[in-house]
Amino acid sequence: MNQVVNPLPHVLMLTAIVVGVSVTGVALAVMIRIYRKYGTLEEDEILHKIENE
Amino acid sequence: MTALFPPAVIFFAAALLLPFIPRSARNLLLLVVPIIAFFLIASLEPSQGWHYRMFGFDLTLQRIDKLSKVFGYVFVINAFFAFMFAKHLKTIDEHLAALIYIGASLGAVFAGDLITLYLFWEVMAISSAFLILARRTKKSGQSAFRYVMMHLFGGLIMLAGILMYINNTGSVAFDGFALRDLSTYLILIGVLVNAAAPPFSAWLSDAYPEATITGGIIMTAYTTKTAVYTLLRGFAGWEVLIVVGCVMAIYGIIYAILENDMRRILAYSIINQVGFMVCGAGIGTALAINGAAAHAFSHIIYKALLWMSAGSVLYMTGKSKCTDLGGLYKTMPLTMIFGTVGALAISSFPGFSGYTSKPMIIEAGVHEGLYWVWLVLEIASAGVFLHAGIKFPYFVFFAKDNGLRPGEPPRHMLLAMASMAFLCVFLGIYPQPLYDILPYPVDFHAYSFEHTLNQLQLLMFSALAFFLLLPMLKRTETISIDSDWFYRMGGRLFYRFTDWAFNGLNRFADELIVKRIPFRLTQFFTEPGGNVQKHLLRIINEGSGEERDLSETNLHIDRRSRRGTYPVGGGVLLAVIFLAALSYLFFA
Amino acid sequence: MKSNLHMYVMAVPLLTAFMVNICGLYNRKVIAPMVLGALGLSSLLAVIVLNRTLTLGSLSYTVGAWTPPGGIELLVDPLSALMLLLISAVAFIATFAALPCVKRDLEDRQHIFFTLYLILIAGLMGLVLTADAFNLYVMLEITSITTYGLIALGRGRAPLSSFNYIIMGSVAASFYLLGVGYLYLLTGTLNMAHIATYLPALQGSAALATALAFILVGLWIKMAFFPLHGWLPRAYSDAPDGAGVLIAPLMTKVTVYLMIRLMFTFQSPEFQLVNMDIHNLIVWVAAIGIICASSLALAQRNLKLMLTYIIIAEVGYMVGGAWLANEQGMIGTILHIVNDALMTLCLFLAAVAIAYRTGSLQFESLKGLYRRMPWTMAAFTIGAFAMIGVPPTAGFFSKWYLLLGGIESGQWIYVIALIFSSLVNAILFFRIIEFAYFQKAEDEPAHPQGLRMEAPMMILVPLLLSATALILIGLGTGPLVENLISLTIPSGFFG
Repeated sequence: MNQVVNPLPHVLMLTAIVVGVSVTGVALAVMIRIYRKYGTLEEDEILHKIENE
Repeated sequence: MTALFPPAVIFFAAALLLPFIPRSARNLLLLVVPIIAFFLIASLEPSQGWHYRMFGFDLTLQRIDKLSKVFGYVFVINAFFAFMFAKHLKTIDEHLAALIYIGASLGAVFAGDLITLYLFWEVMAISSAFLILARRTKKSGQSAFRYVMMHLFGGLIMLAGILMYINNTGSVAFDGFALRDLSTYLILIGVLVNAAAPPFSAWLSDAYPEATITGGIIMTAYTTKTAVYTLLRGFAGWEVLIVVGCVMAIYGIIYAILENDMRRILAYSIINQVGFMVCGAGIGTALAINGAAAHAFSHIIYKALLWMSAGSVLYMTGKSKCTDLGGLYKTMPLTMIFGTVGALAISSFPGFSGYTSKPMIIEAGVHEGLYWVWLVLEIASAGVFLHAGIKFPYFVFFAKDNGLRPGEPPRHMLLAMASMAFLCVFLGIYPQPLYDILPYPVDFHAYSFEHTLNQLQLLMFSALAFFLLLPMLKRTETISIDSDWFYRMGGRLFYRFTDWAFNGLNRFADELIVKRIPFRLTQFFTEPGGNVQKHLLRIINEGSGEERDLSETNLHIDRRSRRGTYPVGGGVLLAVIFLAALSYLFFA
Repeated sequence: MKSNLHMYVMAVPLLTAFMVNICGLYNRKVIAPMVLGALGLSSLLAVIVLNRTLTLGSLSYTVGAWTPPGGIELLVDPLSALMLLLISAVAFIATFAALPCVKRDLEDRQHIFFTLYLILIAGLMGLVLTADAFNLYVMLEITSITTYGLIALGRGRAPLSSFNYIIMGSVAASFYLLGVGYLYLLTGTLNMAHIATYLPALQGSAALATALAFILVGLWIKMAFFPLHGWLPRAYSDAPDGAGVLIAPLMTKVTVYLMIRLMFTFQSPEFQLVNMDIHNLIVWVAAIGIICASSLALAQRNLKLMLTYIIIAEVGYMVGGAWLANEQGMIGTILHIVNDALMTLCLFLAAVAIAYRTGSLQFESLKGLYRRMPWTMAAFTIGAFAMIGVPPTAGFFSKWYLLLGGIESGQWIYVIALIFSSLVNAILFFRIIEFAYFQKAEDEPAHPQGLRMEAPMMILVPLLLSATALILIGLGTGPLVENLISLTIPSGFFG
């Protein structure tokens, strides 16, 4: 029996995972910068700080 | 020498070269360019066109016939003398704008199709705005802004009309429009904006006096006359133009008489004179078109002369209000003479160029049996004599002496004015060269006994009325519109009525259109996002029954929209809602 | 026909990205020549690719020689070739201006910046080359991730703006991925042309409708189509100057291209993507978007923010024009992609030049700029005319086609929106021209020469080049449309 597994679904999943990991990584890095700048990760506090700058 | 290219190209090329030429050679170039263009136009034959393809259409960059050539000649002549007058300018921005502007006007009158016409139309609008801007005062900046908005608006209306016309008929030919539906009416409106027809005329009296001295001289010639050319070419015989022209002629007179600033008087005078030309286009017979074209020719010259004399006065005294001037004949005799020549020309005084051209239009009206048109135009002619022929020179050069003793303007200005004055007199006494270049053969005898008598009668009664009413003149300098029928008593009543009616109308329109509506609009548009939210919130609040105090929330909305600090969740929510809506719609 | 020439166009920036990262770490001076060399080479190759495509037909490259539909195919046809040339040329020109800005803002991290920069360009090129729906997702995310990084390198609120963009961008990409997933489930293939062959059979299927909706909305978020535009103004204006000049002209336009590519591939005489009601609805939404975005632009007091809202309005033009369902509209849209990229490039370069010299882009600090920076303002004025739609600049001609398309299909709201937007643009730019024309009284020294503070040559030359390009392309619209753009629309698309 020479049945080959269809690679496409695997490709789809793996690529999606990789992309997701990269984006998460970048997002976390950006979040660190945000935290360093504003001292908090709560969005409403940050927006409040910006409004009253 | 065959014509290799449209005359507009010479001007554009000069504009490109100008930044790279040293100051000393600049004026030479500016004077040479119109001369070259003049000979180029003279050598153009009707068969020579310049075709190119765009948008899938065969477009004509250059279409020569007598009508275009008349306008071409006078545009170039005016350019020559205007540049001569402007010799003293140090910066190049005015010259650059002027070159592009004049080039675009030439392009427009030689355009053979609607698309080319529109292209040059827009370039004209933008370049002339820079002539206003070049004065670099706060008022001129705002004026230029309104000018550009008005012209862009007119241009866009025209574009919409052209596109609809192309869509309906598939042709871009620029000839007499046989079709009279929404598309051609839109094009007409666009053209009338440039021709300064009421209600689209405010830009002219607003912007031209705010331009620089030389800018004003250049601007008087091109925008409005290109519009007149377009009307003569495309809308000849459209009866609505007769009405528009008559309205313009009267409107210009009334406001010119009510005005105090000498350049604003001249600006309203342009509207009046262009009204005659528009009327001629509306009448549409050979004599009328001849008359309109001839009148455009003479008008450009004597109007430029008048603006030059006003400009000289402004240059030497720094003042432009009639009440501030006066008694200048003592120290500026030459300017006075030239100004008076221009004034007599615009009044159609026998012996000057206005006399051999404007009456053709009036006579054309008579030939067609349009007697009320004749009446209106004769009244307007009398009015012209009053405000431009007498009032302008009288208050600027004679009348009450305000103690000003400026000298004559520099020589190049005097030379330019002298040349223009010469042309006015020349064409008045010997109009044949002008008649030769008119579109149709001319069968008009200006100096027939009845014409001359009629005109002198009109003028003399107007002058009589002016001097009789002189004691009534106050700061607003209003004189009753005069005609042969009622002066003195009717005059006094008329004065009070026009002041109440037109100044009152002005005040009301000013209050509503200039102050309140733009104010509300700017209030809204300063922060549209925030304002929409506030209004919605207010509606919901009122609708919900319990009246909560919204001032805190409103402040918060203000702060948030100004800084753009919306939480990101809002955007995601919008995206999901959008997606849901779209999926549902795709299902169905 | 098989060729890998177009792959070189993409490979060069990609490989240079890694080299820049390593070499730039040791010697900062090699970064500029490497980046410029790579992009110049790419542009040259892109010209050759365009030439070849027009004479020989579409070029195709399959990765690893695995045949589609299993393998990934990268295809160049006239439209992609045009986009490829646009991307490489704009990137090349923008880099000249980016270099001094990056040197000033990010002294020690230049190699990182340009790594991300070059990968972004490679991603953009990949987007226009790919013929595989999922590869498109990958490329889309490559461009997005690098953009997130580049924007976060800016000052002030940049990290927050970048984070907002990350969230919205990821949502968009997820939508797109879900859409492609559905399509795969329905058709069993990821190659776009191959998918198109299955579509007629699926007409009326609810799953297909959902898939298309997801894909479309995903792309719309990415291109900042009103009302999904919230992330763009802050993201593009808080980005560092060097990144802004690359991202602003290109990203949204390439995404519009993607939408058009999907329309061209999927729609055929046998399969209509959506019915006419949806077409009309989309045009309505686009028109409302144009009006709202223009109004929001009026409220801005900062040059860059104003420009970003104008970008959103321009996206409205393009989406509306594409969905007008007639040829004039489509030609107008494609022409507008090219023109808008150039206009945005010109205006952003001018903004960057002004910011470099005066440090602020608030309107009040633009006073007297015509005296101080005459060449910059001259180029800015040309860019402004292009945005307003004044002939003979390029902006007028694409507006012409769009207006004609709108009138032809009777979409009056779209026509009115275009006219309204032109007038609003005129107000916006004349306000600035007015500010720039008048001198600040305290500032003016006796000698006019002393006031001159023209932008540095590295920024000024690209700026003047882009302004000239606007006029040249405007004048050359006729040949451009006839010989290139009209070839890009598949025959029978409007059948």
